[in-house]
Amino acid sequence: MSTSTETAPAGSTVGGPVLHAQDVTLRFGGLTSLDHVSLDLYRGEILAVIGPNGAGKTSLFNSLTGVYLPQEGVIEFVPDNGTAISLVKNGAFNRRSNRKPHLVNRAGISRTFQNIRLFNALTVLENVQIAAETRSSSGPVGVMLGLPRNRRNERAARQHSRDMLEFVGLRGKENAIASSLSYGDQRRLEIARAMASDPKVLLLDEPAAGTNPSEKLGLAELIQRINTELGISILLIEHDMRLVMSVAHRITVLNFGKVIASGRPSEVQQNPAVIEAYLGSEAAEEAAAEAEAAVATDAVPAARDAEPVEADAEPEIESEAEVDAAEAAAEADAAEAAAAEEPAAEEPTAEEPASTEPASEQSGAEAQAEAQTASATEAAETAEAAEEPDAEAGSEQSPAAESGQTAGSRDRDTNEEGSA
Amino acid sequence: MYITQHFWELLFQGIRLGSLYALIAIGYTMVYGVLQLINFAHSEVFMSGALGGVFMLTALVGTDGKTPGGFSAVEYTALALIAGAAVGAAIAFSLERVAYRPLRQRHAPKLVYLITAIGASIFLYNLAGKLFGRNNLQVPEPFHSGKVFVLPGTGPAGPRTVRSLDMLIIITAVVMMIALDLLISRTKLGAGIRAVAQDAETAQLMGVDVSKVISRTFLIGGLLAGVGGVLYAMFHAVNYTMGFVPGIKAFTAAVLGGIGNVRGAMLGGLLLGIVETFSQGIFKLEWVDVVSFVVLVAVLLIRPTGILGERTGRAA
Amino acid sequence: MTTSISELSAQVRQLRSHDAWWKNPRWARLFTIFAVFMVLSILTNKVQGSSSDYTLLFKNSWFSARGVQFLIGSVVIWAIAEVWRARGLSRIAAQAAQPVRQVKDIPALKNVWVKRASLLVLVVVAILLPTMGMFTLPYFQSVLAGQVGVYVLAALGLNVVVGWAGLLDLGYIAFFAIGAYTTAILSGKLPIGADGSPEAHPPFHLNLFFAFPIAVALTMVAGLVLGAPTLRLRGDYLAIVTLGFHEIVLTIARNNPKNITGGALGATGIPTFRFNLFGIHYDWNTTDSKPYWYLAIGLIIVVVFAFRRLEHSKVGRTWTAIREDEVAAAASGVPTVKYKLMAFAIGASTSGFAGVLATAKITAITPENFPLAVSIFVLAYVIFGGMGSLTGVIVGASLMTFLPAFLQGPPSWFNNGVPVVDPKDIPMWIGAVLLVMMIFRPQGLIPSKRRAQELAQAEHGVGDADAMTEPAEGVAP
Repeated sequence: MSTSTETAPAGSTVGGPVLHAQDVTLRFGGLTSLDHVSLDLYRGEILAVIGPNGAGKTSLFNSLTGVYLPQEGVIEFVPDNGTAISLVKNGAFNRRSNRKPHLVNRAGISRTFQNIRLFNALTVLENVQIAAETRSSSGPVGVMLGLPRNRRNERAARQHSRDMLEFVGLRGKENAIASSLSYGDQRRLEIARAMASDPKVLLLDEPAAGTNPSEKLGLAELIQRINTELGISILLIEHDMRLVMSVAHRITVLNFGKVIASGRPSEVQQNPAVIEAYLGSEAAEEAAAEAEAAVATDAVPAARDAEPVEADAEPEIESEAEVDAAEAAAEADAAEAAAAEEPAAEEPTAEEPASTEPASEQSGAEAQAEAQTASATEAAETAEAAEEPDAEAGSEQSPAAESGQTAGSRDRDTNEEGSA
Repeated sequence: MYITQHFWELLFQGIRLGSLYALIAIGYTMVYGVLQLINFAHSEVFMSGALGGVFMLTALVGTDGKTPGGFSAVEYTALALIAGAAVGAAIAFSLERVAYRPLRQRHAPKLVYLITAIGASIFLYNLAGKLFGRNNLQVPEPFHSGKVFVLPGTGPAGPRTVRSLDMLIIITAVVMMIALDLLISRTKLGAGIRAVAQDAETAQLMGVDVSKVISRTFLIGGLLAGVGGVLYAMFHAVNYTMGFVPGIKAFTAAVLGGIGNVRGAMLGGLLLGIVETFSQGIFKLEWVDVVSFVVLVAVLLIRPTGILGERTGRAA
Repeated sequence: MTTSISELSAQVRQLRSHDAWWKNPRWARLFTIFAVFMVLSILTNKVQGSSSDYTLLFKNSWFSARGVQFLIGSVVIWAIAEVWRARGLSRIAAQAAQPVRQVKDIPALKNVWVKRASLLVLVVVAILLPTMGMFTLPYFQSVLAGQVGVYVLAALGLNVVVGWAGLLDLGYIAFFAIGAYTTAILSGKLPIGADGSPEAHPPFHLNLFFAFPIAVALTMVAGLVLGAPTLRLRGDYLAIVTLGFHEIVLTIARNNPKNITGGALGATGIPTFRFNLFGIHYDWNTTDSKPYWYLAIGLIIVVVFAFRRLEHSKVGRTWTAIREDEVAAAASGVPTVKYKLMAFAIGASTSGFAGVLATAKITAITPENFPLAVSIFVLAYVIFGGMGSLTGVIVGASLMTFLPAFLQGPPSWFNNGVPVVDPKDIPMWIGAVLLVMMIFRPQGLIPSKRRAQELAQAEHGVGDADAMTEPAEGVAP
């Protein structure tokens, strides 16, 4: 894994940021999901957005891609140092160009989904072709007549799709049905599909969720290659701090819909607000130590030398705490650390433009259901079971539920999309 | 102008027609709320209720044209309404059991539900045609419909007279709607219906028996439509295709008021009845059905969630 | 105290037997089969009910010798089914059927040339059909040309909407009617002047072959106009709007505004196809159905080729993607509403196209030729055959148009030429077919593999199988 750059800005500031969001505010009824969020994605950089569950990360993505319309704020997209395309301004979509998700994609912003949304009955190649072909201009009449231009377009799109598949490492699986792929391969396929429409900006929503450590390594490498070889700017939501620290040039931290910190990874690590948000318990501090050791950043004092923190550190804290605290902890096993790093519970997705009520009624049941899934995932993944399951599962749900990321829908693997 | 001269009688007729539309619309809206399904076969539930009432009346009153009076009249009318309600409820219940439950158990996609619904509709009304002939059925009168009062306005007194039949229609409809509203808002079943309409899976996790709630939703909708059918039969022709057009109009009314919203269906029904009756005064009679269609399209274009807002959640 | 296994199992059996005997699902199955048979007794009864005696048909079907026969039949079938279950015969039957099923997978069958050859054989058979067996009878030739050919064409169009785009159009025949009336107007039979004679004021007097492109264009526009506002909404709304649209078209036809449609009488004496080009002169004649059949075959072949190309192209893939997961499709850059509109318009124009063909054959149209039920029938043809599958749709439509005609007027060698089914009951049976297919085999007789897979996956919660949800668009929450 490469080290994150900490000296020169990785992203180019020439021509301003490629994606600029200013004071974006998104409310669902009485719930404020995003509260004056501002961020800038510079050309050619990888910006990670992190934060506890319910902080508003997926809502941010949805706002950026036209699924949700923020009541306030400005979102601008500046492809290729050209003129800015305003996506959202003062509670209205840009009527001319970017009201709808497919137009956002056309403009040059692609995304992946937290719980993989592939076209399951199509083959791997066809999945990517769908995205690639949106750029070709074949119409139905031309197709029915079998015009040579159409055939040329089709061949070009197919080749482009193959190139994308090759890039992500799925060559040879072209004719497999998408649903038959392994989880890690499905993630790659989704990324290939997102890239097939030649985006300038790629939004990755928890690409490492549910993957095993070796798949994570591969993903990190892929993300970097996308960034360096193809020059695509990447906005990344992730819970896995190891992954974040290894690929991100800059990090923005959200909590309760607000940006609480933004900057280089090392700065963010030491930011007191961030530490407070995650409020390191022993596990978190140990995770910090582990993460730092793995990342081998020497700017931060070694976590190991610090005092052990008392075990009675506030139990109701959100200890999904992956962000390293500067203080170290003495004990806490690697298992707990690993467990804490895993996405403890999947963030409720709110992708559909749902006309729904704030989900306060749903939270209770969801919290329990998710808590159970959370503990199940962790138990499965780590050799030594986490010793404080309640610290991971139960406690983090209440603040998550309260901060209301759950407005709209719950995260269930597939069914919600089907019945939207 | 015609409509200003005949304002009160048109308004009254509109309310009378609208209350029937409301009764039918409630069935559409409730089923849509819990299943996210347009139950096309609901128009046949309406028709079967009408038939049930007609059978009861034929059995009690006979076809020789003698109209009973006094207590018999009340008794026969009540029995006819009950028969209609029972038949409507039974048909709706069977429909859910036979056609929709297997789909629900399989988690069939929406397209399949809709096609099943339209298939059931075609099947049921043609079955009725086979069973009871394809001509208009004779509807015996259970009581003498006498004058109650006369509405203000110019023109002949005939059309301006409010008869006891009209009062029966409106009062029955209003009573049933109030009862339903209370059921939805105050009872456990009502809470269950609202819960399932919002989010069936979570409701299930909370201990609500979703299958039972859905069955009962159909029962209630069928009951109301059945009563509406009997009332409708008392002043309209009864035959095997009678359900179709009122069915579409009632669905339009449900959308107008906000699909899934029971009060919306009531409001939408009344409004649509009034609009339709007034448009009879403006356009020629043959074009009146077009008005409902135009209303539907207008609502969908301008405010698809309806006047009172829709109440739908995730599919059961 | 220790108990042996046999003692324990005896105790369990004892406990189990205390469970009420009537709770055994066996009796529920008996009840279901019995109910089905009783319903069948009514459905297949030649006797029609009456509006003066409401219990007539019930008495005749249930409380009669016929009723007893059906009762016995139900018990027999139930008994056989129970034995079948108890002996696990399904498994044995499936094993026995293995070799038959393996025939499907013989590599020879997948060879492209084999497929092309079999297609050619089919076309040849279709062309030669009017010379074979019962098809030499004018009645059946007329059925072929006027019903099978026309409705296969129509079903192919509806397949694009329902099978490929996953939308529900319940008023499909409205476009058919528009095509028919266009033909009448263009050939000078409408509008009918005040004196009742069409000849007096015809603005057009065109060769009927011109009606094809004009009707296609007109119905395409109608489809776009209807679809543009509605396709942005939920699929249910499209269904009900198309239903309403059909009614409106009929209302307009009946009300005869500005004398365009001829009202309830419609148009008569519409001239039929005439071909007069390159020195070749040919007049179709309504007394001979065969040329119409050949024309229909030609048109069907052209349409099938065009649609096959569509299916395997970017457009077809995009429709599939929209069906599967509209949100993901939109996020990948697919303009979903545009593609839905495209499918809807293609379907509408195919319907109009078929309408021209039908009108040229029957040469007289009234509004009652195009009732709403026919829209649902065409839907039934598509569903029965297999939505999304070209072969399925062709087979389904052919069967479902031919079979009723056959049963209504069989040739002499079948049942002595006595009709088996009352034509009035046909719609009821079609409704029953729709119901049964949807409950037991929604993918249809000859399923499209992809569609069948989608349906199966949708039932397991993976993805959608239709385009009925709201288009993924920005909404203010």
